[in-house]
Amino acid sequence: MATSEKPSYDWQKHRPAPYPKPATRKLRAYAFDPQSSTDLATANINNAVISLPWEQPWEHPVTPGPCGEYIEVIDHDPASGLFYDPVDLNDPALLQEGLPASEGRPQFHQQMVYAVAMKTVRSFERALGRTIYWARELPPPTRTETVEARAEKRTEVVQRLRIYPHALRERNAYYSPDKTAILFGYFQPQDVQMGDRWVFTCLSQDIIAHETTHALLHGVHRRSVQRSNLDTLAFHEGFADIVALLQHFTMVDVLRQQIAQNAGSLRTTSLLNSLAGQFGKALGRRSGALRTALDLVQQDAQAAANASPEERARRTAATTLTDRVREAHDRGGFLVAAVFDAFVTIYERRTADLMRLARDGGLRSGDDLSPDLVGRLASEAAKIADHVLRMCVRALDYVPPVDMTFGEYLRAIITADTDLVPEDPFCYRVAFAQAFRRRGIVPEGSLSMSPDSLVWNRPDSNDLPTGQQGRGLFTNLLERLVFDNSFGQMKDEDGRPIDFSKPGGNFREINARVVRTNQINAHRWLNIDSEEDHLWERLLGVKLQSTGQLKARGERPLETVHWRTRRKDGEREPLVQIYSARVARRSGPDGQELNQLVLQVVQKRDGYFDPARQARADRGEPVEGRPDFWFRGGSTLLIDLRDGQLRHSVRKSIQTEDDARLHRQRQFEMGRDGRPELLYPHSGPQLDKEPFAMIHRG
Amino acid sequence: MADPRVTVRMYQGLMGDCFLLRLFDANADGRNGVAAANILIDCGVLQNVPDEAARIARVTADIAAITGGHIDLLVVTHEHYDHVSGFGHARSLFLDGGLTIGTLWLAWTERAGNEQADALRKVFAQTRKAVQAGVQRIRLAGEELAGGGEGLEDFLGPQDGLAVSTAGLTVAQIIDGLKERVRPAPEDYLEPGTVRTTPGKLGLRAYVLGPPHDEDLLFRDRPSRKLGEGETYFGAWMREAFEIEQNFAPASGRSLLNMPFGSVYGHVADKPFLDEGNPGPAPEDPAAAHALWRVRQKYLDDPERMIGSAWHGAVSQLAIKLDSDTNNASLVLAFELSPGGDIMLFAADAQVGNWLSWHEQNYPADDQGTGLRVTAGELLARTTLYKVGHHGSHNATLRALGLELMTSDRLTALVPVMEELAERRRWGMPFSAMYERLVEKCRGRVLRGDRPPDPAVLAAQPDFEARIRIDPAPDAKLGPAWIEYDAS
Repeated sequence: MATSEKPSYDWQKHRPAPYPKPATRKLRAYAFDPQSSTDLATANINNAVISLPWEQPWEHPVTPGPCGEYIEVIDHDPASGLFYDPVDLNDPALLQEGLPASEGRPQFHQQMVYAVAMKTVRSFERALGRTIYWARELPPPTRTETVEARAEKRTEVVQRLRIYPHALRERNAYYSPDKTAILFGYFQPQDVQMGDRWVFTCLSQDIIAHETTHALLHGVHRRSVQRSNLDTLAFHEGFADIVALLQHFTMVDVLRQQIAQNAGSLRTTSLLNSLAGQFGKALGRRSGALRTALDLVQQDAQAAANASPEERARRTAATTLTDRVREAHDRGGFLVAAVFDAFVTIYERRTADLMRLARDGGLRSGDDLSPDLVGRLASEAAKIADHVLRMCVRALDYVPPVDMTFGEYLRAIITADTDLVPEDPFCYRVAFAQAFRRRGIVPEGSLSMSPDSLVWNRPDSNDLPTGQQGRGLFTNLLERLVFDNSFGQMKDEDGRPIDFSKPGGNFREINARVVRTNQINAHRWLNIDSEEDHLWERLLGVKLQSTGQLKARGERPLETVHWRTRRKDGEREPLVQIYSARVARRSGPDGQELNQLVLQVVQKRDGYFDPARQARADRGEPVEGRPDFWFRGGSTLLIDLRDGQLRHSVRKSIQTEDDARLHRQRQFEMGRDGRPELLYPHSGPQLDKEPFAMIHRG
Repeated sequence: MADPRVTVRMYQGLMGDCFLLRLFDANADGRNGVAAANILIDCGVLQNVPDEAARIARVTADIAAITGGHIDLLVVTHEHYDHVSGFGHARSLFLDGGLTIGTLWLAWTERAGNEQADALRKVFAQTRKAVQAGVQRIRLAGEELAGGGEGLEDFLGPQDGLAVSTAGLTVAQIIDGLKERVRPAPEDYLEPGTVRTTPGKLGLRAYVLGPPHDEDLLFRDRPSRKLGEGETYFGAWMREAFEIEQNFAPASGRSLLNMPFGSVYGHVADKPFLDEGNPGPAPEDPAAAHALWRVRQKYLDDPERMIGSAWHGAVSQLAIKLDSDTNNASLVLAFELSPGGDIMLFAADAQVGNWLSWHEQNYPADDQGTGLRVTAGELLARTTLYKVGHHGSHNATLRALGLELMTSDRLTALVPVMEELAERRRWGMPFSAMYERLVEKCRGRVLRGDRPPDPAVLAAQPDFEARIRIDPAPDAKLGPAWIEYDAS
């Protein structure tokens, strides 16, 4: 008799197909800040939902913090003596749009800073055309530096930006280049009638976007946080406001509501063109670069409306930038005003036809716009804001590696755009050039303000090295670099194979090693001797010739750049650094593509306040005491990957005939308060410790 | 009558200012006995200097003895502890009648009833409260003020109700006590651009250089943010000081400990949580505990990236501003040793704005206020004795419009500084670039609060050596109590 057999069932085989991961992670945030929720006019649009792409398998998963691929939130509140529990965005209760907006719950604060900062990162990265990294300033080494790029410890690449939502009890938030962190403050405004006792800077979209942009900019330009002229920190402030401002135009509900309310105008003061409302109110004063920017635009309008030519001239003079404007926010305001002006001009040109159609259809001044028209205007505004943001971000690869000025930034914007989008039917570039000129931002050494003369000059082919011998030309450099994760036998600088194939590998970690390897290989390439070094020097704006070469040519070495003695022949050669070697893949609005290698070559020279000491030190005669400041020069090289040819060398030479730039920086360093004759100068180079903390404090 | 002979005694070992000017009759024999007139400029030692009380006690005892119990003129330059604490320490002498004081000179900023002065004192007082609230919260966390303002609270002196060392007196109370005791006349609150003669049997003409009334020059920084509509500078500053006090107040109306969040949301006390000895959660503890723990690991992973004392910055910045604005409100006097002749410049702790203001006005050349006008440039050119500003710090001796205009080849300097002590608090005093130039301009004739004069200079310049006397009975631990110099 057969025993009754139980039907066998293999549970092991019971594996349902995995659910697809959601495409996006949606997180709630205030569209502006908590204050806007208590205002009837804005309450209904103040709830924003930010969509971030769901983490890819090659990215760090989001863990409690939140801690993700680019950002980690750590909520230590030392002034309260507390450490808050981290929000877990993967908790089932939070998978649908996260925590609801709440001022009183620290975990919502963590969610909002994470969401807004990540949104800023993604849009920046898209515009730049490559993966971003953060930078960190380390204290300078006490020993003299050595030539190898790996020994250069002063800036290091950091994978994750850190955010402290409740780090300070003050009316301030700042980016710390030393900690690669954003520190947000909270405070009690004196006027308690505002209803909210504590105001949290980490709950303002604008402030988060602004501070994140400081960090992004530092990641792209490591020297941008050390002042060498009036524009350095002003550019940081202005650029951060530009990014924060243009992000307003990504919020569809807000955009439609505000465009309807202002009958399609972007020049009227509205939520769209103001920053940090609650913060501003709590300040009880006007603040920030954008505030200056809007003042400028309004003064322009008043000037235009004024009949008296003298009055008009006076007002126009007040709205152009001079060296008398010293404070970083004030100065940055001129940059914001210029970009905002260009943006609005383009918007008005591109929507003129829509407005004409509406008027033909019976729209009169004072009428409400039809919802259709509002929708069309909103989508135009959003598209143009995106274009303008991309233009502004792309330009960062076209500026000199050190000591940039506003005028050079304009040239960078125009050149970068021309390279990618040769035709300019909507006159974006003309709008930019005009808007900058109106603010008095005129680049030195460019013939006129027409876009074609603002484009960086192509290298003069007569001056170019032939590459017949020695280091060869740029194709020779490109052979040494890695351009993708080619899954081949890549080795890093220590000869260890880079394994791209291991599952679960982190893309940015691997890529960081590739970037580093490229940087080192580019440095090795640069260190190859060439009989044409004198030509290379002119092209790159740095000293390259060894003492032997100089002797043969009857020239003297510039002793204030730093030198090292070579082992092979006992000759000395100047130290040069590669700040960065990155590949950018850019795409234009009509599908244009451009792949470039961006190489930053920089050299350092000792600077002295006293020109006589400088001259002695330059000749190598003994000079007592330490140098007073560091003077840097070099170039940004843009090499087209289609043909390996150099397109631009954006140069700031380490030494010129009259050393005018050295003199300018000397004046700047001696008179940080604007009057070098007042006090006895500090000796030794000044490091800007926490450069962004002070300029926000009263 | 012949011009008096003047001897200036600088008290040493203080990290504070205390100068006794003794005026002798030129016809009398030598400089023995009690002087014809005694002028005391400030008397203070920095708070919390080791042996604070002992250091100042020997100074005040010396003053009482050498003046014979009478001071013809007392000058108080500004409201800093290191300039006035001696009056509190030696309360019985200065406030309770142990010494007689003929006249008290103060800056116009101390005058009650003057609208600008009242506003200034009010905002200073509120700022002190804010800084002290901040420092208190910092101490509550078991930390000391960092972020640039290290030790600056010691210039402010004790808080209300917490004064121990100065017989229970705050800086403001000491000054009020002196005012009550001496009852200065309205004209004893000195106005810049005027000239007075010091009281006593013998007198010197004194040019009043600062502090200025112009607020652009009076304050270190104009606010970096623009003022709101209808807002004044004092208003904006007052608001900021209130806000900072509120931020750091130990308790508030709604929250016992002045906390930003209700206690229902997950949190832990940071110090024990971050403590090295914390073993962390056990496997069976809730997932939330482990999540928090993992964040802790990230945080501690790189100590340089931790935020540590960054939150002190708000307090530090306010303390620095208060400190330099108080310094800048210093009363600055230039004493003339003979008509049209040598000048002794007592710059107190005046900073850039105060120095600049001297050049904005001219000074009457005679007591009637008529006749020729003298410029600050001329006074500086005639200066032969310079009491260096603010212990030789970087921004209290102006360059082109200050030291470089002191062109007398007899220039001598007095620097009341204790370098080692300043270094410990990370203050650059004396500031090297300024100090080097000072030594050069004086050809080494620099007398300091913390060391004897350079023997090489004394050997090379016997005239200089002949003008100097040092406390003949130095303390074994604290060194000599004074060094003095015959200015004329």
